[in-house]
Amino acid sequence: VKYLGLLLVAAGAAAATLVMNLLGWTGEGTRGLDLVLWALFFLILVQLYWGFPKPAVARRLPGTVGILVLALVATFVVKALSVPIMGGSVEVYPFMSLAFACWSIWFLLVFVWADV
Amino acid sequence: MANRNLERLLVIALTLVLSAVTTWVFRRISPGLVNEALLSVVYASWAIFWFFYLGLYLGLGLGAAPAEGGVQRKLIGTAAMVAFTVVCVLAGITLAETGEMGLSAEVLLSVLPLHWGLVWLVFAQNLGMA
Repeated sequence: VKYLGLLLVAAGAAAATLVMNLLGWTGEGTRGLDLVLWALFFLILVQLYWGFPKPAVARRLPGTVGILVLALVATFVVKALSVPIMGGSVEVYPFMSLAFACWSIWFLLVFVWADV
Repeated sequence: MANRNLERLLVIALTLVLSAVTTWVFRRISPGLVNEALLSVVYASWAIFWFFYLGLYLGLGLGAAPAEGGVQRKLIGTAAMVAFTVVCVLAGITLAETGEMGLSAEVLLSVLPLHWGLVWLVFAQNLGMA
């Protein structure tokens, strides 16, 4: 059962990195970091939020969707605010996946802490 | 319940403010550390660190009264975390500059402290300093 949990984490991280890659959200040389951050996200999600080995997926599914939607919104909002705050340009933005992963982990920690 | 929710909102707000301050400090140290492409990643990473510290390590917003001696333990854990983080960051930068990794110390500076901070917070928590 333990190995099944690890398998879920590894599969989730690999799938997320693949999707980010297909979307063109990863940069050259950051895919390793992408994979680590998505693995961290899925580890916290599966172990702490869903409660593996007896996952309350049905109870946590709305929260999981909420986490990803909020993280996606934060990723786009902060990207849009980056130019007015810092100047420059974000036409080339190689850290989209990393930003999305970081925001996902942050919202996930908040949801775990508040038991949402 | 309303008080608990208010406390939680305050912790989240404090986390976001502290992250903004930390991001701004690194921007002031060198604009190359936090540019327009890195802003979101650096800010969100510091948000993870501050939230872990305030919400999960100090236990703010959980509505539980501190245990006997708990405040002292957390202060010791915090001091140990800060001290170990400073040592590891300085050692990391020195190794990056003088070793064969070919890394620039500047690239490491804005993300090293939060990662080491998290490592030592988890360590302090495992030693019962939470």
